[in-house]
Amino acid sequence: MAELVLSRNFSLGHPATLAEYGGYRAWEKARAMEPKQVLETVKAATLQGRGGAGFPAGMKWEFAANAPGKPKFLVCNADESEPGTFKDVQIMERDPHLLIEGMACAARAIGAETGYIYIRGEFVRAARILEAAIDEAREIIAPFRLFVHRGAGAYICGEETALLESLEGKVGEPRFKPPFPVTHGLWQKPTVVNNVETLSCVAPIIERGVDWWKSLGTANSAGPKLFCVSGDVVKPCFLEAPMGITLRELIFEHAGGPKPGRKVKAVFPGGSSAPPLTGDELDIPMDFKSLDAKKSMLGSAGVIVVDDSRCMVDVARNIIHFYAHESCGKCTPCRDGNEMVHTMLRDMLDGKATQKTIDYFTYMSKRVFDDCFCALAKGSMWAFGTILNKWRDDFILHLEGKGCGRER
Amino acid sequence: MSIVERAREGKASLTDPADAVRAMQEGPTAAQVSAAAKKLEPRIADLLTRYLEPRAALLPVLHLYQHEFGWIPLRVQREIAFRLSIAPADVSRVVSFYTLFHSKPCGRHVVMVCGTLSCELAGCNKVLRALKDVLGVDPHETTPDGLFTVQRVECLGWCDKAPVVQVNDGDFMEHVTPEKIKAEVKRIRG
Ligand SMILES: Cc1cc2nc3c(=O)[nH]c(=O)nc-3n(C[C@H](O)[C@H](O)[C@H](O)COP(=O)(O)O)c2cc1C
Ligand code: SF4
Ligand code: FES
Repeated sequence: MAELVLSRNFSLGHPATLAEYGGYRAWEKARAMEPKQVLETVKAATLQGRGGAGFPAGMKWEFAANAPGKPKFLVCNADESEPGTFKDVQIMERDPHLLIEGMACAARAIGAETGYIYIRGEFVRAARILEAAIDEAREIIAPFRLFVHRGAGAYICGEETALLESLEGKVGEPRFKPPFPVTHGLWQKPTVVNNVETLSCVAPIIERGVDWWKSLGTANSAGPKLFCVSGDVVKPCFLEAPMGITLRELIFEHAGGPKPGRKVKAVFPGGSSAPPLTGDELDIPMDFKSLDAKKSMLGSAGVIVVDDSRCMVDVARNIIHFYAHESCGKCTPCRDGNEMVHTMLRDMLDGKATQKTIDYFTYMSKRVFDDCFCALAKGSMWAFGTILNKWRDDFILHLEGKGCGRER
Repeated sequence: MSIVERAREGKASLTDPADAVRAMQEGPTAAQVSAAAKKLEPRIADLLTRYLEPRAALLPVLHLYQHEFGWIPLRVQREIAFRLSIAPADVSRVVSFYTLFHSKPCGRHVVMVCGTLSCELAGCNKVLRALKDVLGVDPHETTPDGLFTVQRVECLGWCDKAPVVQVNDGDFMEHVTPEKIKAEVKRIRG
């Protein structure tokens, strides 16, 4: 068993206190370094964003550090709403200082005086725990000021520009990019937005160095990673493992495999926006590059397993309902497209579909993907298009008044 | 006549739970809103020191008021708009955009059942049916006594413990079964 880095204090059974956490050693070190040195360290560690896109954190910080304009802001994306994902909340509830110390170091690197943790509104307990931990650490991280800011139930506010709009007190509609938040972010000031897990990697990197960090994970994706496994498995679970662990290991060794007598039919490897893989594709290493090569993505590393008792038309209906509900409504392809596809999936399940319906699905998945404004609908249609291609038989079973016979 | 006015005339009692629920559904009077504004002012003033612009305090302030009244009536929206120097229409738009804010009265206990994939695979529809059995309402409806609103919500971020339910601001209920949710309803009813 490899050494635990991000989840080392999780076995305590309660939020780690400042003393249990072991003090802010990385922060002491960072404070003695020039901001530029802190930045270079994280850059050299090749830390990639854990929020979905895998963007190099050091590069993002450098853009913001070099951007003209003051003050600068650091925002932690704790909106965690991607279906199948429950990793950030574990850090916030069980080891809040890991995040706070990482944010203090990051703020020093980019020259930010104020930081916000934008946490989804439903995470009431995590927000309380964070506030208490910030109180404990206030003197230590001063003059850096850190605040918890609760959202109010909107998946789109996880998209970084929608998050900034929301933080400014507006509806969560994404902004046109460019300009990017690193130059024009919160109140049009240079802003770094990073995921909870990304920022929680910072203190260990500073404290223990680049070489140690790069010795974990794979050559292309350094570091440890938090994985979530849920859905049709015996033992849904949450774990830390080096990047590159295979999907098969996650599902069979950690999550107990599919239920007795069942086989894995489909797996969303990184939240429901990540195109699902089939039961024959499980030997893939879970890292950014390998999943990109399989035309899917590591995304949020929220693995959702679907077994062979399920109908993929019904699964598609569930996830498209999610996107239709969470569409911010700013652009027509997403707002209407997801709704229309959802309605037609329902019709299909009710036995009211023809070959034309499938043609329409093919057309829509491409049109909405190409024409939508932000990655919400791209994710939705990317996953939907993949389901349509890989499990077409399930769709055909539903044509001409026939049902697939599975219980819904 | 509102419950509060009737209470003033001794025709209703706000200590009676049923009347308290009815008062919540009617929404606060102008005097109650002013009283709440006064009470919340220190916290609102503190919030305003955190941001470059006062408008950024809108979501936190909405949370504070919703905690007071259970929902955000127009009267409260106008008070908030005034305090943050923004247009009432901007407040309304924000209230209607976010699912956790209620612009209409809802039950005293909002039962949010996660309906997204992992929870549906684990049987959330059975939980919704059990709620229909005991409360007689479908998702997004409120019981006639104003005690419960049932909602089917999207992924709560706790999927290894599916099916998941959250009641108001409470901790997540895990591995919820029809029996568990019925027992919880019974417990809340007291
Ligand atoms: C629809 C949508 C939802 C997103 N939700 C989240 C989220 O809940 N948490 C998160 O960290 N990133 C989320 N992202 C990604 C963010 O836009 C952004 O890339 C990320 O916060 C950057 O942080 P990182 O570089 O540390 O990964 C979402 C993106 C989209 C398009
Ligand atoms: S794609 Fe969807 S979520 Fe994104 S801007 Fe358009 S309507 Fe909003
Ligand atoms: S799917 Fe229900 S908590 Fe994530």
